[in-house]
Amino acid sequence: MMQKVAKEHIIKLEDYFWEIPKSFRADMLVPAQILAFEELLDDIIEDRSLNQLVNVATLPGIKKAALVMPDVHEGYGFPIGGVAATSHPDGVISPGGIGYDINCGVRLLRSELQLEDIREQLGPLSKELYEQIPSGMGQGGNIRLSLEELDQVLSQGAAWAIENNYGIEEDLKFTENKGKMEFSDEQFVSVMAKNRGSDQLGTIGSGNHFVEVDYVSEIYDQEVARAFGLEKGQIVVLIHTGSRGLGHQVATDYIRKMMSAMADYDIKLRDRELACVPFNSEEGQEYFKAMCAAANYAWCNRQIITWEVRKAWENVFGKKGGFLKVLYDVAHNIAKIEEHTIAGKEQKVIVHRKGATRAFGPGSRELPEAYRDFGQPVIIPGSMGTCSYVLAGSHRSKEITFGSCCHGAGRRLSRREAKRQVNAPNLKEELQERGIHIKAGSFRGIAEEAPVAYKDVNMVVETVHTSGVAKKVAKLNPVAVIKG
Amino acid sequence: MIIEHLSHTADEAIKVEGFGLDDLFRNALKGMNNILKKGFCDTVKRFDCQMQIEVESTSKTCLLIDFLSEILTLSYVQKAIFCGVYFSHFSKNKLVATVYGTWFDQFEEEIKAITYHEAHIRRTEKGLWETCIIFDV
Repeated sequence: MMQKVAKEHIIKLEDYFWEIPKSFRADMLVPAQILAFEELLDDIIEDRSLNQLVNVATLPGIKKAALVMPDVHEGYGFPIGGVAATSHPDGVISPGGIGYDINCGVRLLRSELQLEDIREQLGPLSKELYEQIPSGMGQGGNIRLSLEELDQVLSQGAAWAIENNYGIEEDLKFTENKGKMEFSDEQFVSVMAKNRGSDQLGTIGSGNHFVEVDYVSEIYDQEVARAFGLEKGQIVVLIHTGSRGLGHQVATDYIRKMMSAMADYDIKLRDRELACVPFNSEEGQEYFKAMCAAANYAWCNRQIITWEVRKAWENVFGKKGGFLKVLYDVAHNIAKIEEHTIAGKEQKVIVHRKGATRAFGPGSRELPEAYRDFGQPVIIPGSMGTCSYVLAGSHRSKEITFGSCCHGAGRRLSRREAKRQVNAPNLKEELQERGIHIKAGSFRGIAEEAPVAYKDVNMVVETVHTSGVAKKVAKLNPVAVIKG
Repeated sequence: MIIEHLSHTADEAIKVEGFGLDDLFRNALKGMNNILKKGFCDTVKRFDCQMQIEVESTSKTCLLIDFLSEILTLSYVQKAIFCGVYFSHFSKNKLVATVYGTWFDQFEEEIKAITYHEAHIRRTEKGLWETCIIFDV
């Protein structure tokens, strides 16, 4: 029986930073570290996420520490909210460290309108957004791709959408990696995965995915907010989705492949969902190239949803609605080759982020020129009906979290428990009374995503702000939520 | 046939039992289909399509997860829920089956994947086969 991590096994490094030392279990190669205030830590200990983190600390080639962000919760294999860096090119790559929804991520659009400009039209706007953005839960979306077109999406990413008039060139500038992973190779994506992806571009899916209209309720840092184009009262639109069935299939295909291949590399793990192979092995390279292709699909998907949102916007507000500009688009389920300082030496590592957002500080070459002096925008969606945040990444993230930050509020109740506790029609009415319009495929979906099912996003964000990993820039409050 | 829903913070989890391994696999399929569209298989009056599947895995637990993954993929590609299954070959590490599906309009829940996490087929004291299955939704 595996020993459950308890408070007495954890050492306090800072008020917001904790460590389970390597000595906790003989097979740990590095310590396990937790970025969280003590109140959050007490909650985190309740589920099995820290035991999962300890398992991550046993991955061959893992460097420095296995980490979790304050929104961590139990996943399968890796905890959600986990970050692990393995040595490049001989450390392992693990599809479980990225998740089934490859390049699940968020994109924030900023409008030229203020809350008072749209308050009276929130009903029609919600309806129009719901009509323009398919969930894709049944017969797919409105775009059907031929195999040739799909291969172009997998190799070009968001640029495919721009070339096909689903956006403007400037959108790419404000997308992580300009919406394209350069190592993608569509030949390593299975026919089944491609079949699943052929009709899902421009769809959000179900679960915790959504499109949300918010207003900027508070500005914490005027200078950075100005650089990001944000001001108090301004309306913004938040998109949260990923690579849909194509990405899910890529992950399924390669976890299965790696489970058989692990024995060839003499890798033994506590949890099958951590299945991994050396990055520079044939299987490792094939997975990485397929993962990059799926990430490209996700960026293209969020770009096409942007086009759908713009269409809905124009249908409701006409020319006076102005243009919705991309503030930033960032992944929170991905593996990337990055350089980090480990034991005083700059090293190339494969950073796995599963439910964690990249949060690079000012000066990073990876950032669009307009943001380079201020740090990368970090977009943290809260739960439905609470608030979301825009933060700016800082240098501290490179020092302690491999340039990473939290990705949301973090689930605390299972979907089943949330459905048991929440009366969805009442919640919908309650939110409507608070001025939040909800359009969802089902009441069940509303209950599962109720605020009570999530941790307090304010506390999660306060942790990363206090730690210096990312700084608060603005707070967003929802006025309309569209769910699959 | 027993399917019990369990609590898991991130996902949907079920515990499933069967009198034999093939029965366990059928019940697990029913459990998965119930997540996709509750009660759909109870009301199915016709099958619209049939597919052959062949699955080979390293253990009986992996075989179950891979079997469900294969059918889940078919559900998405064929836009059908596969309520019927006939095994023409069934051993510890390999199965060959014909699955029968019915077209549908819309899923209630989208299952991203069937995970291996915590799945472990074992014999109970009553002589039944059982395992837990966690679905990423």
